[in-house]
This record gives sequence, C-alpha cells and structure tokens, in this order.
Amino acid sequence: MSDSNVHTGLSEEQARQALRQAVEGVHLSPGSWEAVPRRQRRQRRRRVLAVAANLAIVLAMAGAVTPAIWERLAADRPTATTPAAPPSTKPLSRQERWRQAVAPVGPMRVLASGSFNGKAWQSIAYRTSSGFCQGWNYAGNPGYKPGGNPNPDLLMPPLNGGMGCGEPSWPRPALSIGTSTGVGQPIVASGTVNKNAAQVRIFLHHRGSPAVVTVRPVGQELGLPFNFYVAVLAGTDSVIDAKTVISKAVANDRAGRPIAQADLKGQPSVPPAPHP
Amino acid sequence: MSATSDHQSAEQAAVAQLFSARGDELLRLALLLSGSRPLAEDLVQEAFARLWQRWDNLRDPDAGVGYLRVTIVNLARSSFRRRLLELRHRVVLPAVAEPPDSAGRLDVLGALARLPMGKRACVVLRFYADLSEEETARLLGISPGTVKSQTHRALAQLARLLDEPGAHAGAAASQKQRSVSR
Repeated sequence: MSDSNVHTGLSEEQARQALRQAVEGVHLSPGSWEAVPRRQRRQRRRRVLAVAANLAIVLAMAGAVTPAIWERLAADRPTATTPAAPPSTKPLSRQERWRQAVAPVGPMRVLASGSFNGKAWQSIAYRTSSGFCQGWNYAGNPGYKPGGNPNPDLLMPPLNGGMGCGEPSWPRPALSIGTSTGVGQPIVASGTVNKNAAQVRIFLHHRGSPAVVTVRPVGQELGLPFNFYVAVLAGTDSVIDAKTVISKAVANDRAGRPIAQADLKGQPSVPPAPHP
Repeated sequence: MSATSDHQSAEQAAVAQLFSARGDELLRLALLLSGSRPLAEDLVQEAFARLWQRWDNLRDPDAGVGYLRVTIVNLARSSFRRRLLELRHRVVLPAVAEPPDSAGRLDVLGALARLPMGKRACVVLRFYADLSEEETARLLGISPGTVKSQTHRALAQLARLLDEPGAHAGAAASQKQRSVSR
C-alpha cells in the first residue's frame, strides 16, 4: 500500500481552516431579505388554512357522532346497536343486505306484552337505518330475550316470532290491520295508525254477537310519522274462537270522532284458537 | 397605527436586524451543509421566515441564532432526502465549467457533499459553527459519543476524498487542507 493511501484524517485545525476557506467571501445576495416577509406571509396563510381544515374535520366528526351518543343516553333501557356498515363499492350479499335492513339503530320499544299458555310474548318495534321494524317475540321460541334480541352479528333476527320492516316514507293508510295467528301463540290484531288517533277499536263478530276491543296507540317515542296499536283478541281474555271474524277497525281522535277505518267485514281474519 | 401593527413592525425590525447581522454566517453554514449556493440561500430565508412565525414564543431573542441553526440543519437534511429522490429521476444536463479560482473551494464543498448527511453535519457544526460535542449532539438529537465517532470517521473520509485523483490540486490553499498522509 502506498503512503498516499494511508489516511489518518484531517486534524481539527485543518478541518476548521478548510471549511472557512471553502465559504470565504460568500455573502447573501442583495435583496435576499425581501423573500423572508413573503415566505412568512405564505407560512401564516398555510397555517390558518391547516387550522381551518382541522377544525372542519373535527366538527364534521362531532356532528356525526353526537346524535348517536344522545340517542344512546336518552334510551331508557340499554340497547345493543349494530354500527352502520361502512360505505363500500362492493355489492352487498343478500344476507348482508338483510342484516343492514333489520339492524336496530335505537332502543327497542315493547308495544304490548302478555303471556299465553304460560309463556311470555311481546310485540316490539324499533328504528332501523332506513325505517322501522315491528314484530313478535315469543318466550316459547328459540333465541328469546325480553325486550328483543339485537345480537351484534344478527345471526338470528332481533325478534324471534316474525317481523315486518319498512320505510316511514312509504304510502301508508291512516289505519292498517294485520293479525298474528300462530299455533301456540296469542291471537292479536295490530297495525299502524295516524298520529292523531287517540284510540283504535276492533269490531268482532263473535258467534253472532258483536264484540269490541279498544286499545290506545303506542310507540310515540319512536318518532315515526305514525303510531302503532296492538289489540289482543285471544290470550289474556278469550273473546275469539273459530267462529269469530274481525269486521272492521276504526281509529278515533281525542274527541271520539272517527278519523280512519279499515273495513274487513266478511273476511275470516283469524284461524281457530289454539286452545280447546 | 394600532398596537398590533406596531408589534408586527417591531417584530419585523428585530428579525431584519438579526438577518443582516447573522445572515452571511448562516448562509455559509447552509452552503457547507447543502453544497449548493441557491439552495443555501433558500434555506436561510426559510429559516428566518419560520423564526419570525415563532418570534413571540422565543423566550430569549439571543436564542434566535440557535433556533436558526437547528432549522437550517433540519431543512438541509430534508432537502438532502428530497434531492436523493430527484437524483433517481434526474435528466442529465451538460456540465457547466467552473471558474478556475473556485477549484480549491469546489474540492472541499464537493468532498463534503459526498459525505453522508449525518457525518457532514457533525463536521460542519463542530469545525465551522465551533460547537462542542455536547452542543452538536443536542442539536442533532444524537449522543455525544456518536458525534465523536461520526466526526472522526468524517475527517478520515474527507482526507481520502480530497486526495482522490478527481479532486482539484490547483489551489495552494487547498493543498494545506488536504489530508496528511503519514
């Protein structure tokens, strides 16, 4: 190895000298200062914009989260809600669409309850992301949980005895009626009714003699553009049997004036009662 | 004139005064760190603009020079990283001949530019800015031991680079700066 390839490095003094000489006589160009205030103004603008953008993001997030928090706090019973699915461009499977459609987004309200043949039953309604669901919860069926069963994965329906869902904006009659008539279950007539209705009367023909069941609309706290009613026709007190037919349902306002009517005269509305 | 604009113009005057007093010195520091005159000037202007933004938070106006040094080192580091990226995508232009009197200077600046940024910063801060090992360590966010070893290696590397056949041998001044081959 030649001598010139063996380096112990520059001494500190040599380094100092070399560096000073390398930049000797280097001065800022005239007018260099002018750029500083310009840059400072640009930085200030950028900072203001960044603060505004961050504030906008925080406000948007707060706006999205706060209503959900208030809804949870306002609920009078603990509920398990399923978070809304994130937006995706991927088409959803049928099961995923179903899960989205029936997942509760607020408290589940018990509209009516009782027991039949020693087993509890409930009529329950709740809001979904696109509207509402209403249905039945029977202690005799698998997956029963008092107050509804919004299991997080929704492997089971929230209500184990059948449910119907819809959007509040759909055209809806001032009074609708349907019956639940499963074997081993109470027989009920239920439906939706105009918000001005103070009561709903179900007219029955019971072995030739008329009978009337009167109920009050419920479910106002769900905030839908209509209320619900549930009339127990058999179960708690048997007013119905194989020969009974529902003739009509009438909704009355506070003054007792009829404001809506569902005429079912002559239609066999209920099958034979499940008990002898 | 309102109190706010009075305050702003006082701030501007203070920063301008610091610029005229220490601007050249900081430009030389930036030049040694960046190896490019236009970039060095850019770094100094940017550092002063940032100092101005934080002037109110400065407890001691004398600390301004320290702040400027740190900012220049950090800006040089990030411009170094940015330039590495640009080099990967650069278009090669014909070389411009340097004036002969700058040969010695180019030797040192060229050799410095070939050092990794960490070693370069150690050498420049220790021997140009005359900072102690502890001060350099604090400024670079590394331990004094690392400063010591990086500086030692950098000086050896510099000596080797200045002795390479490609380096200019013309200037007598630069001869003195060369590594001592023992």
